[in-house]
Amino acid sequence: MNEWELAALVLFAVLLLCMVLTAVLPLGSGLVALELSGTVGTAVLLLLAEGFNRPSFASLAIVFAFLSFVGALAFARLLERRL
Amino acid sequence: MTFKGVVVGALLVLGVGLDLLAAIGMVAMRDTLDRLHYVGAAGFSVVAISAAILVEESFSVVGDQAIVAGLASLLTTPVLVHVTARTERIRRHGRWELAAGERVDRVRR
Repeated sequence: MNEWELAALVLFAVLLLCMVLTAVLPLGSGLVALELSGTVGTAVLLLLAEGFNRPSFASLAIVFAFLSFVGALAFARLLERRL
Repeated sequence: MTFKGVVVGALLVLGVGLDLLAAIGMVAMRDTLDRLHYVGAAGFSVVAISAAILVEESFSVVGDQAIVAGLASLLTTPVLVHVTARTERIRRHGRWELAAGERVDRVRR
């Protein structure tokens, strides 16, 4: 296991914690945890791309970064208007 | 160990450390707006990891994509933090704008 995979493993544990927090915290704080999990997920994909020497994973990280941004914006608008 | 290896290691530790700090803050804080500060800090972790990849690989396919991912994180995180803070205020007070006579709380030192 190289240093990139080790860092990805540590951040994957953080990602799991963020997913649990998203599920158990109240709505507003859950949205914040969801945003953090998007950031951590992007970092994990970048680390895996370098660790496994797979450039396509880095493309996935870019797509995930933008999709998690749009998703969090949609949830924020939903919370603002409906819940 | 080469100088490049030391720089890459330091950037990796910085990136992972920022995310760990954000996760600890998310658990330790009790209020949504307090937790929101840590999302802003975590945005820089992607920048640090992208910089580590760029130092390791230089301007290759992965290096160029790491630059784009770092820039995306750098640009989108402040927007997300602002939108979430706005949402939280509207949920609490029913509006974004200050009401007549409403004052912004100041930090007492």
